[in-house]
Amino acid sequence: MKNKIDFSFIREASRNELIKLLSSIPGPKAIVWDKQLVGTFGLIGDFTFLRNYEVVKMFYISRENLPSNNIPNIIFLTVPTRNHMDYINNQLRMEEVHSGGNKKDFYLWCVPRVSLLCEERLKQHGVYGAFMSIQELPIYMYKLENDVAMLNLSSCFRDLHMNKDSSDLFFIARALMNIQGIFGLIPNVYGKGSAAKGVFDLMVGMRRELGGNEPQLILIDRAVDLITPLATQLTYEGLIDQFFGINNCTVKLPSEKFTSMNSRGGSDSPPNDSSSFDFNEMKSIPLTSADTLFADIRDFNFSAVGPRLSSEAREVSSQYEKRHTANTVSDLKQFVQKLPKMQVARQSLSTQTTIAELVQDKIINSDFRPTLHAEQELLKGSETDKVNSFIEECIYQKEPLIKVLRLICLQSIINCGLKQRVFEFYKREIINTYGFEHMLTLENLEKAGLFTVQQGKSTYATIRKTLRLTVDDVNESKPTDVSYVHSGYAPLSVRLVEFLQWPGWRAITDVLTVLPGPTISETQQLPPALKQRRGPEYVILTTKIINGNSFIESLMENLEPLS
Amino acid sequence: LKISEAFDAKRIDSQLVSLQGAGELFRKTKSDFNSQITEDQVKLIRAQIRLEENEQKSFVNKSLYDTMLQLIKDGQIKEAEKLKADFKVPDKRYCYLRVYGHAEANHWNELNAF
Repeated sequence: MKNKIDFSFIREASRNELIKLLSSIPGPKAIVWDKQLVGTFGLIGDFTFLRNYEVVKMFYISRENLPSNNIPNIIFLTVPTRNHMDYINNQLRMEEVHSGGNKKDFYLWCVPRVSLLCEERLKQHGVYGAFMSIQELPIYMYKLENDVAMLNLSSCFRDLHMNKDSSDLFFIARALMNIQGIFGLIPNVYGKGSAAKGVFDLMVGMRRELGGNEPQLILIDRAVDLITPLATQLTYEGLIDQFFGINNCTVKLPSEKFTSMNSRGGSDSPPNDSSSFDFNEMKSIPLTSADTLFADIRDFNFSAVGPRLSSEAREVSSQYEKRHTANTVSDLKQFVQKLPKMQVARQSLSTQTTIAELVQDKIINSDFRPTLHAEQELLKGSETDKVNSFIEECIYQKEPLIKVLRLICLQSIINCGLKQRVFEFYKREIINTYGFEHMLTLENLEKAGLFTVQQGKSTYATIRKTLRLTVDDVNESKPTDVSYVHSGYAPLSVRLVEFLQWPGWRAITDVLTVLPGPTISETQQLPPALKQRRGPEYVILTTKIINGNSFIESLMENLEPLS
Repeated sequence: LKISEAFDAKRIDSQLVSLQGAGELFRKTKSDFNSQITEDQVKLIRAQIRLEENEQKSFVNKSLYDTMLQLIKDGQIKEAEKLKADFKVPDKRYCYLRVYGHAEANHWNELNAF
């Protein structure tokens, strides 16, 4: 299935922007990276790519001084935050002192734009004039897959629903306009939630006549469906993300598990300079659809991954066995020709098997199953108005706070807020067990509407019925319905999209934007759900791929305890 | 409510002051539950300071249950009981703590007696 919209153009466009800036500075240069950006920029170009433009060294923006070097051009590449400006100020001053008589030129590039606040900050430090130039690197989107792109706004939900800061909406609207500029105007816009409305209003403001009239756009505000990110994802890729965290299409796993393998994958990550980059013995493994085996199994429910891997293994070894039957020279020649392809297949098989084993270990060793069970009970809507005994137990045993919070929030949302008594019980128990410093986290969750006192009657039961959110008989190996991704729970957001689709619009391409980001499972079930219906094609634009843990983390407040 | 952020204060006495301030604010905004919790925290820190003086051990920064757990492990059941009464810890919770505490410290006799 070839998509009408292919996000590859994003990568090209970003590359061009980067090249434009890089080639504007003659001579060798060093880039001082904002740590958060290194991974994401790996999606645009790797170190070899940068080296072509005379980037000879890379450092991080941090509290420490830069390692001594004699590179005449220093580029600070960062997102515009005040903290970073402070660090840059420091590093820049130290660099000026250490460089002795050699004159160095400094540049500051902000992604995606320079903010007034940061300029002010630099002026306060008195280093504003020290830069040769301060420029914007207008990269709004990053391509993850051909049909998935993200904006890399990780704190979007926090900003929107807790701080009521809507500046991220501006970026989203800009990105959408960008897409429309290339593929034509999207006339039908469906939205759900207040943030979606905000984006729409901005877009109308930016809109120009562009022609073209087929695709439709669906905007979903994460606040509409808070349940899905809190539920555990059970697809292969979803579980990898759950346990190890997938960032920018790569996962970092303990490297000793992969020692038997040839070096593979690590070459994609940009930093090669061991003196300033520390990998902590972790191996990065890219996970994209470029790996055909992974592309095949990423959307499987985990219970179906094992059988698939073993059949793949049989396949590969039977191909190897063919060398015994190769008698004639031409047979042999054919075999040799296939060899490189087979080696790739074997390599990826061994990688995926190792990952699957790691995931399996986690499932068996941790208290994964009881947690999942508790979760599914909640999703079925049973006894959500009382103190959940499993959650109580978790707090008593001082299980990781995130896990506890996920479950409590889930309960709170499903029940449309908790009864006063239950709410206070949880709050008191958490503070008494984990410490008072989590007070602010709880406040945040409350502000964001994730953990609240009951307001009105819960509508979850009705929604669950009309949209068939839980399905009892799930076929995990041959899914017929999206609910397989959570072994029984179908994400609300996806159901909404399906519902919209049901009457059979003649849409050809849809852009689906989920504000603050879909979980991996949400991005996954769209294709399988729609293949059967030969429906429209979907492409997904997101602020950031999230999962339950990172979602809660973005709302947590880190307080340094007294020492 | 924002003022509750004041408690990233660096010194223990100033932390107490800002906590009390936060408690005041909670009371003014009529969030009884929050003000109660904040006052409990003040109480806890006071108790921890007292314990530190007696025991030569660090207690501040621990949560209530961690403090109690530590006391149980050290065999200071009386102190733990006192905290339980002061903070109205539910019996069920306290039983759990006793079991964990004794088990961790290998006080099998105490566990048995309990």
